Amino acid sequence: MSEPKNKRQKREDYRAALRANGVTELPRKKFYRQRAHANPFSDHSLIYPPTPEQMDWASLYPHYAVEEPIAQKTETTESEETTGQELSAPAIRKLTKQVEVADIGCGFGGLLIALAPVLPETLVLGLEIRVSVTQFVEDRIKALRVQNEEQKLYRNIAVLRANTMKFMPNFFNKGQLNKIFICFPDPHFKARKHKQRIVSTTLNSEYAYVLRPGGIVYTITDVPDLHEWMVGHFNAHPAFERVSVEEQEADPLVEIMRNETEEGKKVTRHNGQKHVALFRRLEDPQWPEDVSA
Amino acid sequence: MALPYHVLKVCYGIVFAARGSNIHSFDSNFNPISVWKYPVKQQETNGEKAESETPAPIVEAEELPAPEGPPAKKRKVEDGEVVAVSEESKEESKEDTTEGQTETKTESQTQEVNRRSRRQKQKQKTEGGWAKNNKAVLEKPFVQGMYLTTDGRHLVAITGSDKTIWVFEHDGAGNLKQLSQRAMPKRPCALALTPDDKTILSADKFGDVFSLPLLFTPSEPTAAAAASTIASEVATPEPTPSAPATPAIPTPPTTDVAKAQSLSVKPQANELTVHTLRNLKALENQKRCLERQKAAKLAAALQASQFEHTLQLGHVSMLTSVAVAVHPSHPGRTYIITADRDEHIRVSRGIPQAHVIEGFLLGHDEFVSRVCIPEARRDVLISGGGDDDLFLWDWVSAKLLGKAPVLAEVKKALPSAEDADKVTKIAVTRIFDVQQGEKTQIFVICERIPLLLIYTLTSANTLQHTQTLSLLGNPLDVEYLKAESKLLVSIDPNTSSETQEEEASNGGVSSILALSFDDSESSWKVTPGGLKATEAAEEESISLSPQDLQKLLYTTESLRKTNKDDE
Repeated sequence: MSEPKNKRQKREDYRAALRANGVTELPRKKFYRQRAHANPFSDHSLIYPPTPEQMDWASLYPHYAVEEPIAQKTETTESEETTGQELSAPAIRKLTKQVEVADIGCGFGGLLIALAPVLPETLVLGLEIRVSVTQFVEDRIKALRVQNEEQKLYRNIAVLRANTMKFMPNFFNKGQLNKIFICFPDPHFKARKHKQRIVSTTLNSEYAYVLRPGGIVYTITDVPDLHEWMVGHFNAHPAFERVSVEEQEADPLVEIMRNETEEGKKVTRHNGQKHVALFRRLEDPQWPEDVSA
Repeated sequence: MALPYHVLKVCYGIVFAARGSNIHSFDSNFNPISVWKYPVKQQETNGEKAESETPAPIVEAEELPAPEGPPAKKRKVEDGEVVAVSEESKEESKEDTTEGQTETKTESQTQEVNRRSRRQKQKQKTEGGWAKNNKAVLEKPFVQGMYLTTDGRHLVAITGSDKTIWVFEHDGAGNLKQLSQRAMPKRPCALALTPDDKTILSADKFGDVFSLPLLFTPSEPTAAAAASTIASEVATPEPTPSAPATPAIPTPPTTDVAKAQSLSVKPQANELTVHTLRNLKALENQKRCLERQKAAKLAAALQASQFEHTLQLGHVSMLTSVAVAVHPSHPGRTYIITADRDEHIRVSRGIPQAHVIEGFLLGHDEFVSRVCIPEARRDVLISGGGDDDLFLWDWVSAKLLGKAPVLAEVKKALPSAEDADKVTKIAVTRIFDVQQGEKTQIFVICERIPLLLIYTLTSANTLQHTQTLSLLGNPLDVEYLKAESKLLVSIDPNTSSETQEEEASNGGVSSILALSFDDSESSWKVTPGGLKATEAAEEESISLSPQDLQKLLYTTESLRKTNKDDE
């Protein structure tokens, strides 16, 4: 049993050394491997804010933080009489802009890094449920930021460990996002695991909640049946319509999604197929009472 | 050991009280009216008849449908005999077509279930002490909740381990007539009825909310199910895998059947998507397996839920409470409010737009176990759970209005400092509102805390603690008898033994306490007129071990996240 321990030790040493150096060189994947699946239903010891307002975005995007923490006194006059508890929390530094693009299940972060220079004015957040993988992306972004300090690159991307199936509304407000990427999600082949799929009728309602009308969900997979599943579920959902193929191919981000994700590269190596589908978030329907009135 | 009345429901002058798996009804003076007994099946009779161990005053229990076919997934099992209450009522038992074929499978399945059954283990543990007819008690699932239609004509109940929703017709005088029983695919945790009284919303353990019609005729859907199966068997070449259960499109049985079919046709991975030898092998294996399972799955899909139920919305978390709400500002709009174990309270639109999420009420740090929208103040919502406080919300604009301490009040009210130190966390189990003239009173009980906390919801939208009442045992449920202005609190008589003995000398412990408001002291006081434990315990004493009973009665604290596994 000494072997695995050794391996773990090596990993820890490596990561510690990397951090000590101020993370200037790119991390090596072999020290961050983790099994490919995580159970989204179990209670991981996750860290998530109780509400999106209490999320500390400034530590993820330090370059976009508002200079000085705003004294929140003015805003809270209304709720002040209720309890002082919210006020006791340390003032959270706000960002100059909000996260508008989310990569759900960002894996080793290939898409994030490819998107950073393409969407320089947009904050992009990768969400990943696996601890080690998240750490890898974190170190990778740190290193990239240091290496490209002069060009000010990679300051608009960040990664977060989260279970989006459960806690997406803890991070994003209603209509906050403009784009959601779901790239090569875990296919969960078994029928009894279908509830663990990242696309489902009920979860689509949550994507619709965080997306603003007109926002787009990008999906790509190499599993034909999963592709059909995702298309079927998004098409069936009243809040989404599929984007036409012409429009899809005109979107430069689709090409990036095809070729820049780690999984995408792997599928290319194996001559696999890649199935892409985009869906647009529609306006919420009118209330039935308003329609009849 | 006496079973407590753990769920109460008041319908005008009638009190329904669930005790174990039975529902008793009383008039406002606690004179017994009738008992509905959970249908029990005996091995010998092969479940032809509902067995009632003791002659009850009026037993409205319907005859039970004969067990037929393989049990629906994970149903209760008794000594190798399936208590599969597979789809409704007697009409179906005529339809014996599938019965013969599946008979043998039933046996083996049953054994399997048996082996795994935790109950079975408990049985072995306590076997010696069990009276013969008590075997049935454990296999009878407890009533988990009772809900009334606004007109009081129907009572809907859920029972726990058999995942069944029961609908009863209420004649207005306390007599129940069982209309239907429907076993849900997953265990329902809470129900709500739409304002028009036509639809039941069932929130289940797996986070989904299904809508099902209050009334239905069992025979017809069965036929429809069979028909659709045949149809899909003949013509489902379109590859849409498992026709996604779209909101507002009936999920079953088409979904189940389609799922079973599309699955059995081909595995979803192909040679291009697996990259290692081992995975390739696994894929081949999978193909073979699927082939074999095809027939079995189709049969299973047929058996599964053959009544109309529609997926309306879902969380990826266990649901704990569901409410249908109408905000005073828009009387034409209905909302569905759902609370889950992962601290969320979601506000969605009502049917048919339940896919639109209007907002989340976020701020809880622990599970939410109850939400309450006071009858007279429909613009606010009070929520509670594993947190130290109650939360008060303006739910339509998703704004937190304030909090009110619960744990602190509990600590204050406990007799000794020692006790107070022991209580470090609480789990709110009930939040109940009573309108008293202009005053909206909120009653709160917490799990295993022998206190009743009383708050007043002020017009300035604050929750003010007004009184804490010490009880002689753990409270289980709260209800209000409006006509008599009496608050009813059911008590677990098995708690706090010393006080019980004391009380016994004073004429017995109450299993349902009656409280009334004393205007001169402006506080709530216990009044005579409750239900004495001695009166209540006349029939079958429970055969459960105290520990098992506790497990069945006190389930809220277990929602707290403890062993968070990682990696």
